[in-house]
Amino acid sequence: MNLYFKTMVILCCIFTAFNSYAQKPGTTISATGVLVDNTQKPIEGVTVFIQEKTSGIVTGADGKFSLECSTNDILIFKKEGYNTLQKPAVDFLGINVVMTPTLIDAGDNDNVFIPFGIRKKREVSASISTIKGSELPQLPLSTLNNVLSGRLPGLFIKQTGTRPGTDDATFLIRGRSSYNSNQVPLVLVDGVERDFINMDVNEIEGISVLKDAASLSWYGMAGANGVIYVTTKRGSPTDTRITLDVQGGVQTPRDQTRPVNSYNYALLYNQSLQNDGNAPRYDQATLDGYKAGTDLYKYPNNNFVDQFMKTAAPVQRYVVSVSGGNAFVRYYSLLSYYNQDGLYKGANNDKYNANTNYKRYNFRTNLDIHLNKNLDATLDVGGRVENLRYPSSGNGTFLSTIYGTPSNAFPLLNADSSYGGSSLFRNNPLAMLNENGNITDLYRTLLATMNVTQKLDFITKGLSANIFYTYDITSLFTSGFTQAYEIYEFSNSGTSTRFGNKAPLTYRSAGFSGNLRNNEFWAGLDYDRSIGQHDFKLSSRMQRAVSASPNRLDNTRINYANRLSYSFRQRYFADLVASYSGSQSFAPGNRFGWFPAVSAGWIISDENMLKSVKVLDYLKIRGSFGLVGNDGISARRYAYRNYFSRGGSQYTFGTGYNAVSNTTEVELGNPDLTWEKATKASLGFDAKLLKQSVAVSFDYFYEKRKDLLTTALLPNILGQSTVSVNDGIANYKGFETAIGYNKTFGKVNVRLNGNYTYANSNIDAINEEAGLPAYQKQANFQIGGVLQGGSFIRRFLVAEGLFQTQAEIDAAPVQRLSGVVRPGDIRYKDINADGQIDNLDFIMTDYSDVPTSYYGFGTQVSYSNFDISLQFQGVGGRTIQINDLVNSGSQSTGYINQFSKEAWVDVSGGIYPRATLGDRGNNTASSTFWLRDGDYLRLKTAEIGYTFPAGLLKSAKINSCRFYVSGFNLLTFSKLNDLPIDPEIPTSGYGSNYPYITTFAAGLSLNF
Amino acid sequence: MLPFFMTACKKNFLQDGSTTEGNITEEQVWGNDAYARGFLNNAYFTVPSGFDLDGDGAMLASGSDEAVNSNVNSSINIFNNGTWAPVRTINNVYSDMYEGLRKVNLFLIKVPTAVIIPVSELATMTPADTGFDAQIKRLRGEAFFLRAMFHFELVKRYGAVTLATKVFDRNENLNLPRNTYQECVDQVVADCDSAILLLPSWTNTWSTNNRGRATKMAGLALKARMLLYAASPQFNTTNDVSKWQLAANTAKAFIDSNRHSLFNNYVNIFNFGSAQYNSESIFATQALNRNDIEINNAPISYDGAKGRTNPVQEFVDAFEMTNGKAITDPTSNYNPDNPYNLRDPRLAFTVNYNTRIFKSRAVETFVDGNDGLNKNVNATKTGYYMRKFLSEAATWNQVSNTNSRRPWVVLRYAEVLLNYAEALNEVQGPVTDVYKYVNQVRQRSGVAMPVLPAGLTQDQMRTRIQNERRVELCFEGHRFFDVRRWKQGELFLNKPVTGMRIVPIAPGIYTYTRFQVEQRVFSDKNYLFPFSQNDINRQPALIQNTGY
Repeated sequence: MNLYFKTMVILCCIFTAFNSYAQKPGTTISATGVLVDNTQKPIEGVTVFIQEKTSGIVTGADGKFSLECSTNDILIFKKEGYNTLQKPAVDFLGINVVMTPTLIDAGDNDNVFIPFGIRKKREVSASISTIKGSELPQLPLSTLNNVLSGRLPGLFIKQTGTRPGTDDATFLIRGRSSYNSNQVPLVLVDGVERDFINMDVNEIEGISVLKDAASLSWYGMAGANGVIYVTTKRGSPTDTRITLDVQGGVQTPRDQTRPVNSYNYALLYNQSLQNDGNAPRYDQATLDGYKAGTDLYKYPNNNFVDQFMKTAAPVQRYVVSVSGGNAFVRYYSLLSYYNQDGLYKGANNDKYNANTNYKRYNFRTNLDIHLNKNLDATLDVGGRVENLRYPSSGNGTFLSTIYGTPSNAFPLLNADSSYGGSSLFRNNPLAMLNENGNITDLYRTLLATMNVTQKLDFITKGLSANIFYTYDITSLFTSGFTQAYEIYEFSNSGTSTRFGNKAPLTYRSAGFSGNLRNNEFWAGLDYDRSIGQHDFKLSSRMQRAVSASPNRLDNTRINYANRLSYSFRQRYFADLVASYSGSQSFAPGNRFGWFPAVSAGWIISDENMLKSVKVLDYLKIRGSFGLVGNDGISARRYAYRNYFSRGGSQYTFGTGYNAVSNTTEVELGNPDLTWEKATKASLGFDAKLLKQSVAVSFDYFYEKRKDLLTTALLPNILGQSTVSVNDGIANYKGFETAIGYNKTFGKVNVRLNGNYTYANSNIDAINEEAGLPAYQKQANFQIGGVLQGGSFIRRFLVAEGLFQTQAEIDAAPVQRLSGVVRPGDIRYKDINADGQIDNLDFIMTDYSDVPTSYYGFGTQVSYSNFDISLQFQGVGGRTIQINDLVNSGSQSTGYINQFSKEAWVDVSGGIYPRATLGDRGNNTASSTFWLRDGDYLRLKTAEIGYTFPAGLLKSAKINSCRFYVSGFNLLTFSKLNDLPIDPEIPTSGYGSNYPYITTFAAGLSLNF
Repeated sequence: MLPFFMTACKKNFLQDGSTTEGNITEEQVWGNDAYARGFLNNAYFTVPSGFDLDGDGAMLASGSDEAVNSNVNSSINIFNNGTWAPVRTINNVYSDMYEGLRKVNLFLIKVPTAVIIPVSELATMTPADTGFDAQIKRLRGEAFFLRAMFHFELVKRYGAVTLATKVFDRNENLNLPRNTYQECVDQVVADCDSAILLLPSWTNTWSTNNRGRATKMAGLALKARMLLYAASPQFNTTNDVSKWQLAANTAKAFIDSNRHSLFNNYVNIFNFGSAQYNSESIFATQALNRNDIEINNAPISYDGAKGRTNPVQEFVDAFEMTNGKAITDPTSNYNPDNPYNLRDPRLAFTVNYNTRIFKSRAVETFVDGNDGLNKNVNATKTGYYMRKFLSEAATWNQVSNTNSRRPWVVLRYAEVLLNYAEALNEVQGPVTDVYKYVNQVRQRSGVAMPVLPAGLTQDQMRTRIQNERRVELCFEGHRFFDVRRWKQGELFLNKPVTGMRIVPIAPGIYTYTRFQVEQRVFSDKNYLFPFSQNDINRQPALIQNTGY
């Protein structure tokens, strides 16, 4: 491969030798002509304008145009359904100009971005879904992934967090075929691995989701989980514009913890004690004190949620962009500002603000330079500055304090104005916001890309060489204020105990805590050639990627990717992709592999046999098959080798307690370690019906993934843990379908979209302990599990309601999950019929947080100047648990929470098990008792807009102006009945999690 | 772009793993004195400590009839509530001990050829002690001691186990059956013998910065304990007296070497901040500078401590009166209305009872007292808090906390004396030597309990020795296993534990009412630990202990 480098170096020298253009000033002429189609019929409604000027004229029924312009000008002719025409003005002196109708799916707006290439949708035989930036909703949201929810078939997005700046989500493409990783897709922005969620939505030209081997094999060992390929906007020689977007809105919390007041808390606490046969803790005088609420020092009654959470927080977004260009230079430039405030109340003191807040500045300039007729270069510089602020104790601690501290724990302020607290509850929320400082994380990201293409037609027509290089850096700088407070607990006798140590406000010693540099270098050749009706497109690239960060060796990647696309008569298409990819994660000699794939497409509607079917305008059938790899295995670095670590915590000997040297063996390596191998097959069609108003596409897919890592399961007498072995196999199969409708009835335009994906996974092989009962084995179950506290639970006890009487308990199998079982405890099924309930009665299940189906649908309707759009998203076949909500709390809080009111009590019964302080094992075990249907359907976005008539704006030099109101997460339908939780993130608003957020916004969009 | 080209052109663009972040290769370990020695040092971490078995400060005492844990949801209760099972384990040291065994076995194989640089390690050195061979000998001696210790920790819990006397390979058949109990005992004894042969005599033979390493005396004490366990009714079902004899001989050899002695301050045996490597401590874990023992166990009114280990009334009752009589003896002068008066001084050394002065003020375990029952969730469940091991100098939740050096004392001289007395009593009955050594413990400085009355029968003497162990060695993890090896589980562990409800009626005057704290469950299978189901599944040849 050394030849590659030599070629590249020579090319570099050639580039520098070229001269630039020189140009003469022009004279004024009048360009005239008639626009006709290929049957010489005049075309009405073609927009004609001069490049770099925004205003133009529209042709009438006779197709004639006449325009005053300079001899240097370029004229542009545009009409939907026709290929855009672009020619020097001097060519138009009263001649007929022929505009060619666009083939279906091959127009200006039908670009599909594939790795190092652009294809018309018509030419694509791989399974790729796309969405254009202009189709994404305009909402002031801090992350972009949420606006994609439910928009693309085969792409599942689950929101996992809602906190300002970190409202993250996870992606899954099609289904699960690896039980090791979360199968995180590769996210590429302009061709290289970059974060896209923090981009501004206006930066985005389009997003392609690459789903099958035909496109993914290009990435070799990095592609198996699918690719989300984001492209940023570029300037256009046919479109010059300045835009300004202004948005403001509010974010409101939903489904938050509703604290129990002190009186009820004390009653419930006493009930818990009574349930265990213990004496009550709160006597009648205390209960009366809570009820009266007159002495709040002695009988505190706080509602921290009301006291410290706002009902709405503001959010703003401003974006300016400038774009345009001519035949030589094209530019796109954007600047945006985003500000999202947190919900904490009373956090702004005169020294600092401890409310969580997220500010982001995005900028981007994309330049395309046509240096000479053979040499093109692009230079893209983008970046962002993010400023994330939060209280010193962290959002999680603050939220768990206000959600979890009992209402009677302490008065916020004692009678002497000192902060209240107790030995059990030492976090005082008022002090946390006002005397504990704050932290500001400043993230700075710079992304730079250079791309140079040299035509090599002198060697052979259609050949070009390309070099692509990126330099991305990101850093994290942390600063803020530190301060500490003390709390005082007063006893009944008036004496106080202090906890914590007061410290004055000082500047937080700041530091760079993160630094990352990523470089990618791609170089290679393209060969595009049409010979008669045969089109060839050949691409070949070498990739070298480096990721550097302090405290670790560089991560490197090598890939050689090749692709041949062939088409015949724009009707028959075939692609061949093969990459040779290597990873440093595997033993030398064992680290490179080939990843080939083939795909084919046939536009069957162009065949004579279907031409007569009037209803069917277009039908393409396509299929692909190939191999993709995944080296993103969860194992330590160089897991194929054995290592010893040194340092670490050191044992001390001697009277001086000297720390002595310490060496230890790390987990045993696996020299045979290899990558996951995903064989992917996809078969589908795209169709257009009823004068192209209806578009349908469908894909059946299947993936089998081999060499999954699975535990070696060696006896513990080995005395050392071991790196896993590649013995696992799993697969998924399913289908996805999308339908679109677009039709104009007079002044009304109606668009509908919908998509549905079903995927079912199966574990074919996994190492499991031999002695495991058959009903606990994972093989032949789905990949997934019910999410509980960050881990996935797959085995459950089968609950059979609650024991109502002691007689029932005596007659039932002995339950050995806790010391004592009492009425009001969960009754379980004795799966192995051994007369006792223990860990052997858990059964393997298919319950999973990953839905088996996910879908979305929406509509855009415009009438005259008004427009409205709605977008829904939903999932099916998903299960959540409420165990960690109902059983939340600690010894200190007595496990009393808002759900305790519905706990079982003698005689009257209840929904949840009896409240108890100790010996809780029986009722906290993972069981079907706690499972709930996690399906939901959500109105994700809605928008109503009004575009001001152009006439009103002419004097202000404004081309268009649109005012709109929009909302995000507006309505949710689920099967949770009146359970006050969100089905997508059940823990949001509970524990230490930020509440689920609904956003309302209004905005103005100006186009100059 | 040029530097990038150079990186890209480097032959080894994808690194080969010969260099990595921080970690080193096996050749580098044995080719370097510090790394090779460091490998053995690391094995000392495997010696179990008993201060925290559940991640929240629970001690084994709360799994026996010594105490109750104040955290009612602690996993330590698995020992007590009848749910102990292969699928519900606690203090499961199986994989930890084999990890330690792998370390020492690997060390034993590699150290003779490793690059070891002789250094002076002993308090007094002769030229013969500084040679390469002498160094290797000592290092191997430490490894043998630790191997004996790790096997012993397995054997005392599980009974017979699979012996690990070599480094297992991940590719070999590891589904190995258990060795016999006797083979396990023989292996522990043999490794102790190797250690005894190779190691420096006792703590002070090591130079000051090597104290805490294994010694000849530690090997001897561990051997004596192993033999005592093997001679006890649980494992010596035919009551083969020769086994008791072996145990007695080993303990006697220890005593006769005159190296260790009873320390003059009972409290400070465990406090290396006040008495580094005191004469009584034979072997201990590293002495961490800590205050977590106090945070976990001090009474709750002391700066928000968690009051975890709560001694039970049965244990408190085991302390004799200062006249040497049990409180059940009508002539003992025991006053139920002033129950802590005139008791064995060790009660005050080991229990924070009501009115006991701790950190210059009285503990208040009476109802509604600052440390009283139900005061908060962490409050004592029995009316008592553990006092043993706690340092009065340690502070927590302060502007600047004070820590104190405490190890977990694994072997100490008083135990050896009691081991000898117990074994000898079984062989010869209550002969003079039996009296002599039990009395030495009773009359230790600062305790000064009266000598045992003359004329005890063998059975009476056995009971007195058992009670002496219960009192002297309390909370040190002995009681849990002693009750089992004496086959007294049904007697002590299968009945409710009680506490003392103390109600003030006038200043300084209280009423004392015993009350049941919780029911305890013990069945025959509980004499041994269950292997975890996970281990049985991975190693089916390891047959589960009977009853589980």
